[in-house]
Amino acid sequence: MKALNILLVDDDSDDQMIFIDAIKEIDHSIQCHVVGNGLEALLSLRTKSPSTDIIFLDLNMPKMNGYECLEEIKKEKHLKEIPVVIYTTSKLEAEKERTLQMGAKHFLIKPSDFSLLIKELSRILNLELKQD
Amino acid sequence: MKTLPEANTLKRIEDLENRLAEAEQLIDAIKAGEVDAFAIRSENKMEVFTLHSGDYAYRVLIENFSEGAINVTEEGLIVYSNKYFHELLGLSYENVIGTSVYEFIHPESIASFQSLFTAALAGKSKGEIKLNAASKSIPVYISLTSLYPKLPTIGIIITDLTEKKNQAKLLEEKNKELVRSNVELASFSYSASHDLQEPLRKIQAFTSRILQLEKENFSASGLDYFSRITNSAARMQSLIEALLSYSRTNTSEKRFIPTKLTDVIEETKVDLQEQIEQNNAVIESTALPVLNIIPLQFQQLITNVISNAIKYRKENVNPVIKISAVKVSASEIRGDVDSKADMYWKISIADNGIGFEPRYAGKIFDLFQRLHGQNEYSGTGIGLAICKKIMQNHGGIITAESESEKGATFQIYLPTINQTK
Repeated sequence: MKALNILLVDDDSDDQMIFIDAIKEIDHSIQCHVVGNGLEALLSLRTKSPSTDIIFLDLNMPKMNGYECLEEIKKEKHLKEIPVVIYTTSKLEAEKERTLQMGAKHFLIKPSDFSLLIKELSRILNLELKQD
Repeated sequence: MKTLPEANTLKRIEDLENRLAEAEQLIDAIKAGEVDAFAIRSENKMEVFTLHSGDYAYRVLIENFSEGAINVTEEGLIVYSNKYFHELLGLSYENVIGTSVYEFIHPESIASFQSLFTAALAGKSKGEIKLNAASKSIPVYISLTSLYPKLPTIGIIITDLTEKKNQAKLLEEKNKELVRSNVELASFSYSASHDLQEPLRKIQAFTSRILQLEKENFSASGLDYFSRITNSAARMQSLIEALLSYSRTNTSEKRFIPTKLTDVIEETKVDLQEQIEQNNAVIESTALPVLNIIPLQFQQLITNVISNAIKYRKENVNPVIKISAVKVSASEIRGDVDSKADMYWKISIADNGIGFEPRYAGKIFDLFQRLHGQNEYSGTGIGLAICKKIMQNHGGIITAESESEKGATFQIYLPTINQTK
């Protein structure tokens, strides 16, 4: 089985660190590529897209936010099949509905507890792996 | 002495009789108020006498009236103006008298004045127009009365609306400002508490990570300090969440829906199931009415009050909470309510808990007001402040009474008729 490739799109360095730590805890073989905004994400996806298995996308980011980035991803033929998980602090039901409607697969609210984050990430990765 | 001829005497008598009749007619006319003035020829010249006694009072009243009064011919010529009117225009009496009234009507108001004037020719009319004075326009209310058939003129009373309009404008501006600052405040407290959560979440994430990785390396006291950090962070989180919920009480939708109070109570029991079971709490209620309420908000209010009743229980006494509702008149309410309703539902929620001293009855609804130390009872001091706000949103009020160790009773007063805001 090939190693899973994750793209994290998040401008917050603390959250990047917590996320990578959690992923390494789940499975050391998972490759985690990190970019800081929507534009960088698109650039990365367009050049490395064949190897990205799942995208974790923050909503509130500079230059290009999560909504715009999600919209662009869903427009591109060779990107739109990659599952997108919204990874945000927003607890607003309206934002969840909106992004799911736009084609996001999951809506994960950044938990304050590390073990809870591991649990949630494992659940999502399992779901997406089984579908592969 | 010579005797006058008989014919002369008769002529003289007839003359006197005529003059007597004329005088009597005049007196009758004066009595009937048909005469303002009369002219008498004396020593070859006419002298005019006005009836001071008759209309003196009215003239003085009109002159000193704090509204404008003018008399206008049907062609629009001003034949009388009281002091107030020409002073309102900033003109002398001479500049107003004999001038067409149209000279003083603002161009925007000419058409409406014309139609009021035409209507007044047949009786009475009133309306709002603008006057044209020197460099400014003056908003006025005018009331026109035809003086036909006694006089071929129209009397007009003019009320200056400048002050009133200014005040209305000021009030409107203040209102807009108030709405704006309320919206700002709501969005400020929402985003402030939302943004406050961010660094806190990271503190919690990293501390939980440290605890997970390094627990074995901590000394006993180090572990104790660390758990104090995580407890403080958890408490801060609950405070921020409560603040968020408090600010949402202002911004969330305020739609009134008739709802069975029994359903609200049942829903609350589900929400608080764990707390109720852990404390063996019993919630009793009599027949309860259907209320016109903002369902989610009212639900939260009832949940907060019942949850408090269980939390502040007596040790070794199972909590019993009794809920009842009666209709009362507004005069029974102690405290200010926004609504002008006459009748209210008074919903009482009484418990057998530790209660509180009567002097705290008003304070407990203030933000961050707590009667107990964090070690005795945990809490944010926001729950009852939310209840207070929710009742304000409903045009009602929540009050409480208690004595130490004698349980507490919360009264919720809700107008029986609630308009959707």
